Amino acid sequence: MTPALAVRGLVAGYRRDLPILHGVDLEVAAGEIVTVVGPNGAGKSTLVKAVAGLVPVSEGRVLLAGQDITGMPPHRLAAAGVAYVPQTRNVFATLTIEENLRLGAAALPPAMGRERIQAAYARFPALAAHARSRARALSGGQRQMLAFARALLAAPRLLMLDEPSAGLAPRVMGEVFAMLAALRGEGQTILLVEQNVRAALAVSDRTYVLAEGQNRIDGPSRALTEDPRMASIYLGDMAALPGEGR
Amino acid sequence: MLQALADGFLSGAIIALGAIGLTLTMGILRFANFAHAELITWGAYMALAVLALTGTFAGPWSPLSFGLPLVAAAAAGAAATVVLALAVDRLVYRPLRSRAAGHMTLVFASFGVSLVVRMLVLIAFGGAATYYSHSLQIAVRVAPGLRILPDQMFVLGLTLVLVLGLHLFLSRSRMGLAMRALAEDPELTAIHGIDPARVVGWTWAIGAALAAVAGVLYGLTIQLRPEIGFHLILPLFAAAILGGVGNVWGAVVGGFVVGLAESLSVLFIPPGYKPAVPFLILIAVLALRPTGLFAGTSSAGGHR
Repeated sequence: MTPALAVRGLVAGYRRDLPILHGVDLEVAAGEIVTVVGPNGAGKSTLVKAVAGLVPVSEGRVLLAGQDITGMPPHRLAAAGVAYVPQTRNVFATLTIEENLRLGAAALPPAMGRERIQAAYARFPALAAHARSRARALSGGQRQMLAFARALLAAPRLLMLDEPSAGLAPRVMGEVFAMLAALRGEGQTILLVEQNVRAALAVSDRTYVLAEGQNRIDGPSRALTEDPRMASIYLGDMAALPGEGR
Repeated sequence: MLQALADGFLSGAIIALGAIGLTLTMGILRFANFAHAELITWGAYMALAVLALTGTFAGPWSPLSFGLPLVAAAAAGAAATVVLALAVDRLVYRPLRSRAAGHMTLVFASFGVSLVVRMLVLIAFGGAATYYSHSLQIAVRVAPGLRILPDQMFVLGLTLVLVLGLHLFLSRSRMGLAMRALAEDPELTAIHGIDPARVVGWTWAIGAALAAVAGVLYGLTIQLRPEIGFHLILPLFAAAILGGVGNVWGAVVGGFVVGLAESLSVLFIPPGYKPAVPFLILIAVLALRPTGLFAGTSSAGGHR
């Protein structure tokens, strides 16, 4: 079966003469949650940004359900069914919650957009309560929920999340991973970049470990949890990562 | 005193209309466009050209000095100004943006554009002052010591209508929302599936149309000269920066503050120094409150 996302031999970086990714391969099957982990500087964020059309690709291919989307500008990727939630600055701070969601629904027919926004409020009651407030007034966790809600409005074929748990308090982080588990139950295809390795392995089907812009290990998340090579890639740091015993 | 206030509101209205476009393009395209004021000149003269072509095919709307011909010419002039703004963006600014040129490169390019536009107007229409109509108007005595021409009342009314209309557009419509989003974060806007180039086009179109209207109103209430824009550059920047870059209501308030300060200044200083007033306001704002008067407040329609 054609994978929902296939990345083949991707070479990419902010400057073409200084690639950060040196030929990365990755696949996400429909309905699967795939995690990308790796030490700082491994190129995890660059990988999702390159797929999202925000970092120039110099070699390799990105295929969305078999269709070549390499180098497609970000606004056309959204229409093609790719939703991307950046790690930071992922909501419009000066706009209200409602306006943020309206922007997320901008490509939909108006009636469908209104319907989906109501559905998002039902799913995230905290957002409904603050619909008229500016997003800058939200807590870190609420912002993350708004960013998720916005990305889900378009019912994307592929949802890409860049470190959604970064900078959140442990309890809120738990909510984010519970949200991911719920989305998994709904069959949403997700490519997740995470620093929080244990939690990410627990919530995902398969995992890719990157280091220095290259593939190192990949396989079912459950198997990698036990893999001794993981610890060596992290130079023994894995035990020190925020683990919260999942 | 009263008369100076009235004059200040009048020139404030024209400055406000020009400053709205300037603040929008500065907020969204992130450079100080020194050619924006030339759009005012261009709009005023394009309306004059259209008026010359069509002739005065209908009489004025009493008590105003003009009628349908000037309104139609103003609309055509606004359209011609939108075309100029979009053409300049396509030919000059967009190639620079796509090469990730620095802020100063764009600023200097805009200086070049402003010179070219001003000279084109000078070549085509000559340097002498001219008017849309030579008919005389009778001033209405509004209060003791205060006389206002019907045309001037029209300028104030039209400015109010345009500003309210723009406010509704920015706060209610999808494109208005996209413009505010783009002013905050272009990358995030593109991720939302919105084509930044389309939003930039709308920004130019709205700014240029308002500039053209400001030019026609200037020509209507004062006179047409190829230096209209050149003389308005400083007041426009003072108004836009006073109001906070990207803040539409700020630009409107800034426009009126600058207009009033200019016209009230002649009560205290020789009229020859009047053009220095916007400059002093600009320096004072940059020194004391560089983010503008309304930074951090949640003014309706403001988006900074």
